[in-house]
Amino acid sequence: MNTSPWAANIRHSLFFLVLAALFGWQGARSHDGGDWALSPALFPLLLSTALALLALALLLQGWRRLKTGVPATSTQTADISAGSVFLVFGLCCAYALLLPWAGFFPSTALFLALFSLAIGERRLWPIMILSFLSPAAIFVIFRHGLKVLLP
Amino acid sequence: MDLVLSVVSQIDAVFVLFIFAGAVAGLFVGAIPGLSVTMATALLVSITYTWSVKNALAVILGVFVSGVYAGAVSAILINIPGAPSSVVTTLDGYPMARRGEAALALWAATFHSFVGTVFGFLVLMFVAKPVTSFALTFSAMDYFLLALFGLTTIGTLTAKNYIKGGICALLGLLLSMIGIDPFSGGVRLTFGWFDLQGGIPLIAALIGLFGFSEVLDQVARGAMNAIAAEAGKMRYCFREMVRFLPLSLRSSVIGVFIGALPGAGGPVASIIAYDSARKSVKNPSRPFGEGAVEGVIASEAANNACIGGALIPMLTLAVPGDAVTAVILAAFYVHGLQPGPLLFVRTPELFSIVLAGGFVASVAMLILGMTVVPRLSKIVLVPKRILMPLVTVLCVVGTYAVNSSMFDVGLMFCFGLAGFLMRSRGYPPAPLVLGLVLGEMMDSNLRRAINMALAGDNFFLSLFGRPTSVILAVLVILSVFAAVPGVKDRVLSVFSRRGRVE
Repeated sequence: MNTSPWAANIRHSLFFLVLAALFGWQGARSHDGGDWALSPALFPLLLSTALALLALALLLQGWRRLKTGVPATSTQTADISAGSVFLVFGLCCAYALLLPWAGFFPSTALFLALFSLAIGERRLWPIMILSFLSPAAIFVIFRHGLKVLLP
Repeated sequence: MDLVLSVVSQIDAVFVLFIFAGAVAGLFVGAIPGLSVTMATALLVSITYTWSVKNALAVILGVFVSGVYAGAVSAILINIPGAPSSVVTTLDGYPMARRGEAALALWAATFHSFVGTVFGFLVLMFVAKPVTSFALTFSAMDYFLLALFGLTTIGTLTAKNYIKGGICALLGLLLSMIGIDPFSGGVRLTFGWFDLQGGIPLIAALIGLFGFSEVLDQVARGAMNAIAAEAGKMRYCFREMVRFLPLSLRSSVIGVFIGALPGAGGPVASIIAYDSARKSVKNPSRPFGEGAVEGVIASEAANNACIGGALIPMLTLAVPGDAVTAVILAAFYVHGLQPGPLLFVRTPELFSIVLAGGFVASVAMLILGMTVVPRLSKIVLVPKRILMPLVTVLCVVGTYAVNSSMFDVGLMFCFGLAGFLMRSRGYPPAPLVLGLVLGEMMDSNLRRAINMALAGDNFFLSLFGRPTSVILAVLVILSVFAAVPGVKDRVLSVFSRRGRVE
């Protein structure tokens, strides 16, 4: 696979074209059969068309720059660790699933301890303070101070 | 003079105390994403309905003024805007915090929010009626074009590639269309998913795209030290306050005017003021978007000036300028008062109470901003190994607080992942959020404008035949074409060639 950002832009443009088609299809389905000026489909269809046009512009821009060999300035993805992102995201999903089942305090304490361990915290005291004191503080402030429901 | 004396006569110790209590509550509510000022004022209406009007308004105005300002605190310190009107503050505020200038950014936000608020209330005091009558001349098409101008501006401002900024804005608008259409009551763009019928929750998107995506970004980079090595000091001398005052006042004028337009509000005002600052400030302290204090000043002065602006149509016509003033309007009715043209005849002291409340609340905000907020800036010194898990839990709690829905929490995580992927590929999340905020307003006004134009004699003239519409349409076209590389240079070269020939 070509790793140039311009080639990536071409792949993105294809994704946006598919997205524009999907939103356009859904938008057209919401037309109620009445006057188009009042139709709920009008604005979504206009937006989908505009998205498709911008995706084509991105495709054309990427293709022309790839062809002429214009150097790309952005290399933001170079030093990114995808593994740790997926680990943390998985941990967050597990937390969201655990919350309704185990309740706020135990699931949050476990989540905070595992999260800080996953991103490199090895000292026991900070982990203990973080995982026990902060859920308690959040509970007191939000539930009792601000009268906000907690998960 | 009578009005000034009447305003001063409303201020007493109890009044000031209630305002300070409200301001402290507003500071925390505004700084915590998910807890909105609208929610807090709505709660206060139910709590304060047995109180006297004066005390009830004192607490509500304290929360309102301080809450709008406090959105900047989390925007600057952890890159999570407390409210949509603080989205633009993240563009320069967070880069400043990362450079070790969190305290300076907070102080600039505090002082210029104060300037914006006072300016807004002065306009409310002296020129409420002319501003209202001008704001009322805005047609549906003007509202559509104003929102479009805001979107094209933020789309081209925040992305290095203008096409990517435009795509993000369009995606935000499309996402805002999901749910039940307010005109026909029909369901649209839900892809058959029942949970999406209520639409995309704005707070979930806001917290996901700015807060959780920042957590993922930091984890991906593996940099787990503190956000900055130092929080900086409040070295913001009198000379600098005066130096930035013209910018602050220009942004406040934009804020008051946009605030007076019902439905437009802080997000649009802060974008337009930011764009204006970017064009008018010749030598910013740093390039805009990389930690320019001028960016923070423009955004914060404008969104706080919106408070006075939003109160103008509410008090003079009983038309609320934004969600919070709609709640305040409800509070007026709860207390048996009738805002509108008769307000000044039947209960003139009420106008004085609102003005006195606004001025005292802005002083309370300044005092809290100078005393409490600097302590908060130390948060940037906490190692990310501790801060990031805590921010994630706050993202979950803040999202859940709005609708008590775990579906919203799931959406917030999805938006976070999408925001992380977008950022790493050069797609800015700010236009997407603004698209979500402005989508419904644009949709309803466009359809209304087309309908009215179809009923008129000339379709095109009905849409664009008014001076305001022409000016806004030209601004939209200019903001789009100014971003296209080469177009600006070609236009300038054509003019310079013509100049040489002449």
